[in-house]
Amino acid sequence: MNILDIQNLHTFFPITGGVFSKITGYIKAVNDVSLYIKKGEIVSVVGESGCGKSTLGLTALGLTPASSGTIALADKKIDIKKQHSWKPFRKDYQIIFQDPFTSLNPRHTIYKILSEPLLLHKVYTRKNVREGVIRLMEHVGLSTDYLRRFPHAFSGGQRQRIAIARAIGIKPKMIVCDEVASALDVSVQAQIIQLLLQLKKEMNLSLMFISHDLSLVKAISDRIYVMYLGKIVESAPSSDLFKKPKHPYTQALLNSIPTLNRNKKPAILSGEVPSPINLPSGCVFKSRCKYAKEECDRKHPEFSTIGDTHVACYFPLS
Amino acid sequence: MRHLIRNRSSILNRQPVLTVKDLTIAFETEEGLVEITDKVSFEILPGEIFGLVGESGCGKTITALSILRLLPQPGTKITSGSIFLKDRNILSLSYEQMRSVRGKEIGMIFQEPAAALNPLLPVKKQLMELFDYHKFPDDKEKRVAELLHRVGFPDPQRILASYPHELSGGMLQRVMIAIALMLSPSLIIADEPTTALDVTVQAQIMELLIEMQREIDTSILFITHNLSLIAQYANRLAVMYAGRIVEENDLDSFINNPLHPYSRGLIEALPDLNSENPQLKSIPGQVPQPKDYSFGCRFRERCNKAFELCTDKPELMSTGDTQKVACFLYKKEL
Amino acid sequence: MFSELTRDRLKRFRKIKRAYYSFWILGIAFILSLFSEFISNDKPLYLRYKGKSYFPVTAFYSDQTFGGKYKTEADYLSLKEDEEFRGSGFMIFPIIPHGPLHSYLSMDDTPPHPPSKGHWLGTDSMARDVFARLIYGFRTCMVFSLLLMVISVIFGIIIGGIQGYLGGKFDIIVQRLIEIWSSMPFLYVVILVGSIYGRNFMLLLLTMAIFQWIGLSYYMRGEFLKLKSQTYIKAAKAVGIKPVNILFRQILPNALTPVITITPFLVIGGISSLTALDFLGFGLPPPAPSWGELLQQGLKNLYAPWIALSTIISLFITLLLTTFIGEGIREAFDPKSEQHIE
Repeated sequence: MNILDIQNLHTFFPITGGVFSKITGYIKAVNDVSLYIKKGEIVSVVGESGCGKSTLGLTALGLTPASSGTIALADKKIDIKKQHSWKPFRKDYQIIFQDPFTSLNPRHTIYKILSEPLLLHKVYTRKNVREGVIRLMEHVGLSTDYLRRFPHAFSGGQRQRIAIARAIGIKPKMIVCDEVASALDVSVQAQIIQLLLQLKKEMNLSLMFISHDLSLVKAISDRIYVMYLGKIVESAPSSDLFKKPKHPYTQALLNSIPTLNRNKKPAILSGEVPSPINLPSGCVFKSRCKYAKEECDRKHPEFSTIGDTHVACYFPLS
Repeated sequence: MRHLIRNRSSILNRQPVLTVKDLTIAFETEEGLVEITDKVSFEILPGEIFGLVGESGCGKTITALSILRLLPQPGTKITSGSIFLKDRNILSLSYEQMRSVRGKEIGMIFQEPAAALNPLLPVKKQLMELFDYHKFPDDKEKRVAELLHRVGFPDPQRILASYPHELSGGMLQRVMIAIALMLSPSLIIADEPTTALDVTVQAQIMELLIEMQREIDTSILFITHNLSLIAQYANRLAVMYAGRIVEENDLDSFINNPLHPYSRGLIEALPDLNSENPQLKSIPGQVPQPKDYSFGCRFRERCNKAFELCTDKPELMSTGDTQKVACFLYKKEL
Repeated sequence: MFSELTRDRLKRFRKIKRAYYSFWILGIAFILSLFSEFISNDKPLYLRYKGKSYFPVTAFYSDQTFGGKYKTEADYLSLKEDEEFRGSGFMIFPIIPHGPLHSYLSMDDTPPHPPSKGHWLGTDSMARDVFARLIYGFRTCMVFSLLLMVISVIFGIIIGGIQGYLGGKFDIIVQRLIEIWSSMPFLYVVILVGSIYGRNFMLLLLTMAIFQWIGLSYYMRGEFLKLKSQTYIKAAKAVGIKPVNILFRQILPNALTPVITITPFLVIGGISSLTALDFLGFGLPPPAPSWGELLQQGLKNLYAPWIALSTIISLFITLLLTTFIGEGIREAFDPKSEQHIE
């Protein structure tokens, strides 16, 4: 069973101008993306800032309106034009955000933040919700002395634990983790990832990991999607992707990560990501691709299948 | 100590470009002074890239700002220590003198290039102003265009005419590098210069920075939380934790044999892209906030090697020619 | 009841001595002024006549009650001088035994009378006690500007909030309407409304309120627009919290901060506008005691400087205290002082 199945999803943001805010163009944040996540799988979506990976996660959960395409949650198709069609799924699909400093309301105590969803979804009653909150806090490794404190009294790592506790309290089936570790210090990043992996095992969760950090994703993912400029350019099982990347962009991304090894200098990928408003004709990556040929100008390449890898490139690397 | 420094530099026959000594900076809060850094000392030699690495709140940025005397005012003050740029004490310079030091002798590259430029003025105007201020002789326009060409803009005139918001993060950082290098300063402070940029652009910017550094033969104080970047580009480094320098080391010796348990933890926390089966390791506990700094070694609570002695404050001590560490594990060896 | 943030801000406000004391002084003065009838009145607080007790400040007694001829209200000041009354009763006057409307035309000289033992700040051109009029004027002024502030805040929050929260077409249309509305000349509207419906307190208050909420609604709209895109609001949506609860429990409390910092300045605006309107004669109808009217009298009778001086000084002190409070609130709520050590 696919816990999440997305077909040909588009999320365009209108750009407006003038007194009556006429639409003058679109930011093509998610542009024809298909993706699926099986039950119990950890799937990562990787890409640089502005590639649309966060929008993809938000759109999947109905937090950003989709423009077209189909979304099926647990094999049930969603009417993407209606916000409330996600309502029955709120309990099963949760999201954890990147910045733990803004994802908690500064005016609410930890108790309030954690108890609200528990009561809303009737996991606990008003009488025993306190017990539930305490159990949650212990579960994510927070001291229960903190119950009455406000978010600003916590460090980034602790806040992320609170955000995780809020998400798992209502026993979801899938969690979208939007850059959950990137705002944290290096020494605590792994703590949070490990906590998520442990919870995943205990609760049989499916995880969608959205990250810009390939080295982090490598250690945890079953499958990885690589996004560039609103499109998925390659998808492959984790081991294949790192061993033999097929798309030139994936390769460039892998090679540009600095490592401790001084003999392996990070490779330079020339140029910068073009604007998602005026997409180049043909392959979206062609302006930065060192292998680009004439064919790449025609249109964006279709996916081809090589082993378990799907790649959108006319000349996949071998 | 002073004697030692002079002795060492005479061996190397090089006078340090920057000498920071026992620098203590404190925030004024309602509860009184809270120390953010505690007797930070290091020196930067001519032509070297000195890395200062640490996690958020460890005091690395505030140290950099204090070198430029740009501490947030009011509310922050230097309570003790000295900062020498070659043989001039920066802390005793007048406001006017300090202004001429900034830009001319010390260049600065910030994390957020967009925030460092005035959004209402075109790039050209901002560059020219700097030249004017430092009374650069003749043919400014030509020199500015050359410089922009040098940092990788094939068409400098277009860049000069544009406003900051019209340029991408990577392009702005190139402009910032151009500004920092304009007057060939003897020291450049680069505070997380690539953190706001994408990985693929990061390498471009770092390469450019290093190339320019060689060209004008300057030193760089490279501040970052990213150990891999330091490993790639720095010659020497100091590791900061909770307001103190806990280790100072040569790069090779640091990577192969980190001294402080915290340094080791940091290296191990980096996911290894090359390993077949990478493991995620972390240091238990949280990074402490300045108001919670405890007595003794501040890493004690998170350290798996902590023992009785660690409740005392460890001093930074030399364990080799270029190695220093603040940890009691090395006490016996001395 | 308050979040830690609010408590911290209150604590900081208390530390800003100038603002904190100004707040108390003005607050106490305002509360006292609500009981002006007991402080300054030409009716006695207590009256004893033929073994019975009377409280003329709070009740109506006719002249006949005290042995007079008329059914109209007793003239207590002349009663005080009355031999017959003195024989069978006594009365206790407030500290300032003058009402704001009582004309002392029986005094020697022509009004305005200079300050004297009986009239500490003298009398105005109609021989009314200036001090009494100042006290009553202060009350009118404060009640008016506070009410004005509350009404505009309520309007501003509701309209600006809905605009910001809903956004889109609704926001644009309402925004354009507001712009058209706000370009109407305020003074003409006040004069027009006054001449059609007559001048009175409530009408003036409403006329001014329908203009004053606009500035506030801009702030609210901005705050709501900003807050609704905050991650914690998205997080609240993601766990399935109802839009109504998001609006009232998550966004509104956070959006109130800028409103609170503006309120003292709204009060200042209210005080000055009312005084200005009264000065021009478009404000409250005479003989209502008002500072604007006193100012105008002072200007007309420059040879009687006690009128203008005492009014200007009162106005100055009131505005100064309010400004101090405003400054203090702004400083206490300044997010800069909440920044954390990086």
